[in-house]
This record gives sequence, C-alpha cells and structure tokens, in this order.
Amino acid sequence: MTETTGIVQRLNVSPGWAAACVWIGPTPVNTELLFIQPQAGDSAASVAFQGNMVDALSAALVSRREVVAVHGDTSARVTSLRIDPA
Amino acid sequence: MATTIGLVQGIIWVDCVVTVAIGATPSTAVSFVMRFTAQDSDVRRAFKRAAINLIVRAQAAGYPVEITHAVAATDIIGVSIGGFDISPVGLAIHGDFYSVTGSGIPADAAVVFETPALVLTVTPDFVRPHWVLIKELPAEIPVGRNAVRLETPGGWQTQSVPIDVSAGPATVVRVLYSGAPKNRPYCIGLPANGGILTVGSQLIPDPLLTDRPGFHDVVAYCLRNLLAVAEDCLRQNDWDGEMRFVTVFDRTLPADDPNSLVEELAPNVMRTRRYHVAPFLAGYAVTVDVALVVHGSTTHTRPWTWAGIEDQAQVGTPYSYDGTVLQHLHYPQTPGSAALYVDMDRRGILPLHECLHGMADLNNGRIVDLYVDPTPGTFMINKKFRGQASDPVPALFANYNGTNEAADPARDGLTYPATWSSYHCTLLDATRPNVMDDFWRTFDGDPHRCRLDTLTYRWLTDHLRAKLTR
Repeated sequence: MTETTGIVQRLNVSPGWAAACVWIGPTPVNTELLFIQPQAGDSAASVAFQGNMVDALSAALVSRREVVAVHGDTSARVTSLRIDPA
Repeated sequence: MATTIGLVQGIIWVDCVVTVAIGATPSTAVSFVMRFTAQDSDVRRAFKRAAINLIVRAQAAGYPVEITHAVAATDIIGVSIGGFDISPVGLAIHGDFYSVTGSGIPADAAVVFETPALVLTVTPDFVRPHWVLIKELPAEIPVGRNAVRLETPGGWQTQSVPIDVSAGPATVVRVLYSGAPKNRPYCIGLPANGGILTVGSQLIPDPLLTDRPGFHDVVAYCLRNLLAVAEDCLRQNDWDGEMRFVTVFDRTLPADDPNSLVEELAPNVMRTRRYHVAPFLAGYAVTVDVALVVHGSTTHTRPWTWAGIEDQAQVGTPYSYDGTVLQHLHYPQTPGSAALYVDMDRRGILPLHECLHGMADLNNGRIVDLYVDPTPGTFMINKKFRGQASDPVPALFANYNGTNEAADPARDGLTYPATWSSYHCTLLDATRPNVMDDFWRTFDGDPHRCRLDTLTYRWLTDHLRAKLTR
C-alpha cells in the first residue's frame, strides 16, 4: 500500500457518478489525484464508511489539515484515511 | 453540462429535498436542488449526503462552491470546493508557525490578512517560490474569520482564502510544508528536545521547553540557512518543493530517557542520542530522513551530528568512487541527526553545515569536517590523506561516477597547516572556505556566501535525487 500525504487542495463529490475526486499535495499545482468510489458488491457498511471518508476530506479541506490517504501501489482508489495529530 | 460558482447563501431541507442558494449575494443567488428518493441506491444516497455535507462545510468556511448541473436544470450532479491558487497550511494560531504555499511566489511577497475592519500585512520570515513561512503569527491579526492572500508591492497578488484565526494554543506537531504527494517524501524534522543526558549521567529538563519563541526563531533561521544562502545544493531546481518539513514542540514532555534526545560531551559539545530520535518522532506520527534537534543548554552549545545509517535492505542507486561501487540508499534505518543550540550565532551556516553531515550515510559515504586533520571512522567522500604531511597535494582528488575532480592545492585562503596530511576537493567558489570547513574565517565576514566543493556538491545532488525520486 502507498500513503499519500498532504493538504486537501480540491474535492469534488459527484452523487451522479457516485464518486469523489480529491487532489492532495503541498501546493495547488503539486497534487496527486485520488478518488473514492464504492465498488459493485460493497456492503452497506462499506458504502457508509466510504461516504464518511469523503466527509472527513471535506472537513480537512476547510480546516487546512493534512491528511494521509492510503491506496494501492498502482491504484488511485483511496481505501483508508488518516488525520495525524497536530 | 454547466457549472455555477458562488458562495453558499442558504441551505433548506424540506420533504427530502435540499435546496441550495449559490451566488455572490443573497439577492443574486441561484437555487439548486438535491433530491433524496426511494429509488436511490445506498451508494448514491451516501454520496448525496457527502455532497450536501461538503456544501455545508463550504458555507461555514466561507468557501465558494462549484455546482455541476445540466444546462437549464437545477438538480445537482456534482459539487467541488477548493481550487485556490494558494494553500494555507494548518490552523492559523497566534504565536504559532504559519505557512502559505503556492507557485511562482516572488521573493518580496507579503502575507495579507483582511477582515471587514482591518488589513494587516505581515512580512514572512522565509520565502521560496512555492512557500512562505511566518515564524509566529502576530497577535494583531483578529481572532475569527480573516481572508489571507499573498501580494507584492509591485502588484502581484493571489486569490484570498478564508481562514479562521484562533488565539491558541499552539500546536504540538506542525507541518510547515507537506512535501511531495507520495509515499515517504524526503523529510527534515525539527523537534524541540525534551531532556538532556548530562556528563554526570543525569537526565535534566531541557530549558528550551520554556522558550517556544526561541524555538520558532531558530526554526526560521534553519530554513533560511538550508534553503536561502549561496549554497544551493538543497534547493537546486526548486526541488525543495518535494521535501517535507515538520516541527515538534511538546512543552509537556518529562525529562525521561525516551524524551532526552541529546547528551552532553565535555567540555561543551551537545550530541544527539541518535537511536532515540526516530522512536521519539514516531510517537507524533513523524518519520524523518534528517532531524535537526533543537536544545536550550547554555553550557554545551557546540553541535555534533551523526550521519544517517541507511537501510541496506532497501533499494539504492549505485555510484562509483575511485572505482569502488557504493550505493545512494533510498531509505534511512536510523535518520541523521544534529543537536543545534537554540541561540546559536545567526551569522553562520551551522544548520546547513550540520544538516549536510546528517544527510550523508555512515556506511556509504560521510561528509566530514574539513577544519580538523585526523578523521577516523568509515568512508568519507570529501577528505583524503597524503602519506606524509610534507607530500604535495595531488592534482586529482577523486573520480566520481567516471569524472575526475581536482584537489584544492591551497585550501582556499585558509592554507593547509604544515602538520596536516589531509586535503580536499576543489571549491565551487575558490574565494571562500568550504561550507564543511572553517566558514567563520571567510574573508568578507559573510559565511552565508560559502559554497561546497565540486565533488561533494555532485555527490549530494545524486544522493538527494535518489531519495527524492524513491
């Protein structure tokens, strides 16, 4: 797994596509684009969990808090999220 | 598809429909709706909730939102926030560090805090093209909602970002600059030390923990030293924009063994307890490649730095030195660490000098002091020895990756003492002492203009590149 750390520079939530895109990085022009998107067969609990991660990213963006997004080494799909102590 | 951008003027929840008013003012706002229906899947419902939550957050923070909707329709398809051209980093707290990042930031940029009643311009303590730092956020900035922007006297200006300023308390862990958005960006940590192991084997509290302003001042000085003096090895090609910088200041630390990161050496040297540094920082979820440990001892102020011990089990980038193949290893097993006195002489380049010691590798190439002759220990890249002190300095210093680097026959204007057998590589600026030499003896009294030698510069460039691209 890979951890991408940084400030949430931009967040897009699309109910129509049931996905969220998040740009994480130190500056607005130096970001990694990751996404959260439930997959077919995900349980209701998993879907709620992923929606909650989107909520956490929303909070982190407006408070300028750094996040650590965990995803596969060759995947941009966020599977877990961490907000470390400040 | 169309987009509408504006402030959130109002949100109404009625009969499973959320109506959002978007616009510059309440009177000009346009309404959009999000309908929760029985046909919604769990997934769609979750993301509708998340989208509304994002709008609520944006309203509270004063951020504009971008609503995606069909042309001539009001149903919300997507919501975006963010996308400013600057990025405030972390909470805005009086007396704490405050960073703002961006791109193409001019050297004369100032940070402007604006409320309806007041415009306050703060000159940052450190400026790079991608980052400005205020060492202590002034208490004159009103508590509560402000808009922050960068601007220059010449008219360059960024967008304004709403922030909420608080009176305190200052944070324990402060990310000054988060570094490349990737796994384990190269990280320089600046922790405040908790306790000191004395020469008498006692653990005593570090007085630094009662001097937070001093800590902030020396951190700003360290950053200017690393990234804004004549020696550009750490900032070439603006690659410091890929490095991570984090401080830790925990005034509650007891002076116990795990928190005591430095130890006294007679008569006046302070050395890091190198194996304590990484576990200490791990307690704050901080992982570093090099730690500049700040302490407040007034009796042991001379710094000592340990080179890093790189992880041989991890991947590396090979290099050759006089035909021997070695490695720029990518990850540290034990980070390099320096003990820096909080009130060190600000005219020098000690933070840079010590940091370069710490960035090197104990087993694959040390960068050592050039102002002393005997230097025992493992392989060093920047110093060699003649058979006899009376032997002439060879013309060739070393071959690095197939390219010969000349020796410095005169050691700049410092000259080699007659009893010395050591000699050095030729300098990038032959008019001043090497950064790793006795830089205080530079002829014009300005050590900030000293440079490295050609080989150390090339080696450090490759060493850092290997780590920055790991």
